[in-house]
Amino acid sequence: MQRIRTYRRLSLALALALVVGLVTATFAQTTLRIAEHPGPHVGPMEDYFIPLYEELTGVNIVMEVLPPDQLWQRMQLEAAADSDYYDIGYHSPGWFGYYHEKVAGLDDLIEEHGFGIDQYSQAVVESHMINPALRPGEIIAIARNPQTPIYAYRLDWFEHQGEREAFQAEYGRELAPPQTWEELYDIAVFFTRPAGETVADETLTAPLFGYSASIIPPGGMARAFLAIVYSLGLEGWDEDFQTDLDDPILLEGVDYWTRLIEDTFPPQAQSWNFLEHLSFMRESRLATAELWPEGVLTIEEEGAPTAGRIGYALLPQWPGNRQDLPVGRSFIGGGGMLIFDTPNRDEAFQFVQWLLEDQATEFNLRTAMFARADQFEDPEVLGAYDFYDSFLPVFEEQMSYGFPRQPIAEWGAVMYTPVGEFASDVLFDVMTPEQAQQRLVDNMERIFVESGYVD
Amino acid sequence: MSSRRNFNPWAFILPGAIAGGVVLGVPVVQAFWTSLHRLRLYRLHDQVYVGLDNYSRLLQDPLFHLSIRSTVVFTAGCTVLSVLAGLMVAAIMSTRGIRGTAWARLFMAFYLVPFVATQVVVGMLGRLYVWEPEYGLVNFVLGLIAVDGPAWLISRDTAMLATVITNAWRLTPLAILIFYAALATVPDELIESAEVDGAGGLRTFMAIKLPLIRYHIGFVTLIQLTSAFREFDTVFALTGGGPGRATNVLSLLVYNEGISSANLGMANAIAFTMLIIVGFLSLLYMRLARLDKVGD
Repeated sequence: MQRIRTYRRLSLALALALVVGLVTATFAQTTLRIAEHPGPHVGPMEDYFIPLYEELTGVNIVMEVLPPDQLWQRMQLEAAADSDYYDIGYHSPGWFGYYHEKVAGLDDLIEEHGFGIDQYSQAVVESHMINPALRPGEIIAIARNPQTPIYAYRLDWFEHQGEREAFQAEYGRELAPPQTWEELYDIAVFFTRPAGETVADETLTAPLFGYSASIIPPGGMARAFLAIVYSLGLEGWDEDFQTDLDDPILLEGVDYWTRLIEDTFPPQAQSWNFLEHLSFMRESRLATAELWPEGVLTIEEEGAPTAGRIGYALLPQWPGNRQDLPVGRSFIGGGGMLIFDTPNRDEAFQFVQWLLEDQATEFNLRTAMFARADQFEDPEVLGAYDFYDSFLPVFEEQMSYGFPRQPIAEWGAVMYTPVGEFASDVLFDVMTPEQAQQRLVDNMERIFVESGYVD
Repeated sequence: MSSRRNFNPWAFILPGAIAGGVVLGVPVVQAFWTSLHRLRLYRLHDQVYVGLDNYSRLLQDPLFHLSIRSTVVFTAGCTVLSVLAGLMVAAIMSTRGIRGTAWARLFMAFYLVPFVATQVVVGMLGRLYVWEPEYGLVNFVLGLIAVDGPAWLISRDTAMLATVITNAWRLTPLAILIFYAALATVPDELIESAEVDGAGGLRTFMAIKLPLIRYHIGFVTLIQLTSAFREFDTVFALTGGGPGRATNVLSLLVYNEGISSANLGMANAIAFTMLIIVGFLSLLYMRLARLDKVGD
């Protein structure tokens, strides 16, 4: 009887210890929550990096991947509520104004943990890691994939003798990557063909489209149409906050854009979010495309029908553009990772450092995302894919023309959303181009007055 | 005794009235107050009183007029379609011989699925599996009869129609439930008398059943009207308001202004305008229902 009582007490004590241990362990374990942008890094993070880090450190990581427009809105709302819900967020310089007050400065952590900030070029630091207007003197993010779009085309079709002859006969010039946006249009029209016709001697079982981007309004439309706006030599506004979007050249740009979409884009493009059109290209249903470099593996990964069949070129020039630019350009997009000012700030930074610095080579090999000097120089990285020989020089040269967005909180409200709505409203005849332009300008001027930038 | 009798109803009503006042009244007052201010999402601490400026700009905005038109078409379409479909299905299901059978119960259970499904799920289902131009159900069925279906949600000519049908499909089960229950209250003797007098099924329905459930029809119409008028989730998931602004109903305009354009003052002005319109419609309905009752 005595022994039974002892066993019972012992069992009870063990059970209690187990429960206390479990509860303590649960509460002691750090959980980091990441707000992420879709892209080629998501798979490797889910399948490899996060499980590995959890195993190495015991830190628990939860990653939420949201569509781009919902991502910045969610981060903004959580920051406004001061909820500490996200510890780490995707950093796009254009969105930073919406939640900049809640973002942690990283200087002390960089110094304490010895993060190699010298691995980033000055241009990358300026475009993606600091914000002199909203957080002067601080590093506010770590760049992961700064990029600007380039032109991708089906190299095998461009080199096909029959296609070359047909193009020469129709347009009186060689079939080659376009030097101007009008040439890009011609090429796109040339390759837009119904099912039943052929391309490079192969019969099409589905319609082939000439060019595409992912243009769901307003975000997707803005992202794509801004390549036209910046190629026109427009920047939105100057240092005195005087807009240049009232320039008549914008009407030429939107007229061109409307023609390009109506004559050559797949209709589905209007409901596609970031990079979705590249899956269409991978299926050989798209001849040429806007390519944000982080999507390159969609069309080049081993086993993809298009792998090794893609050519890369700079965005074409807009003759008569307002800044005499020799090529086309868009804004420097892509992003990085920022740390929110939560109790987990230190642990969050350590994870980001581990991912983007300690695992820099592995991260690049699995995502093809470039940000650091050592990634551009590492023989293991450069030898990872054959297509890098043609892709990386174009990527780097186009970056040198990229437009760094003005670091004001209102960038999204005066540029990103309204420019997307402008192009969309003209495309769908919601208003005349002149009315839409006036609306765009009025909105920008009103917000600049409200914000006190101009009287 | 008399004063106690007068006091009792108020004692019962008061807790609910207070709760209702707090839950409904405070947000409404706050929305109205915000609508009188300039308030940007990226400057939440910087609220500037602007009076009726947001309303004035709203009334002059062509996009607001466009959204009003889209909302009227969407609301009318969803209401008419769901009420008619609800009446039709309920009439068939309550017919003697069908009513109460296992098949009828199975069908009713099946038809309740869209009613209990999350609205976003309904929208996503519609976008990915029903209206998708290449692999969607509708174009698949049209393909069987050699009809080349359009890109429903991408064409300005068809997006609203597809959106209305999807949302009406979601609203119809409620109409079926209420009409089915209402039709069950129609005395069998009346139907039998009509049949003895030689009335057919359609005549019986139109002349006897329909007048007897007219208050239910009015009630369902009002519910569907107000529900469709403020619908956001299904439209957002299905089309996002596009293509262009073809399905940009008022609730999406509120979202776009408040979140995408970061203009919370204007968003609240639109939302408050919507409240006034819904309130007016509800009052109008109640007035008509009262007149109808007096006419009885």
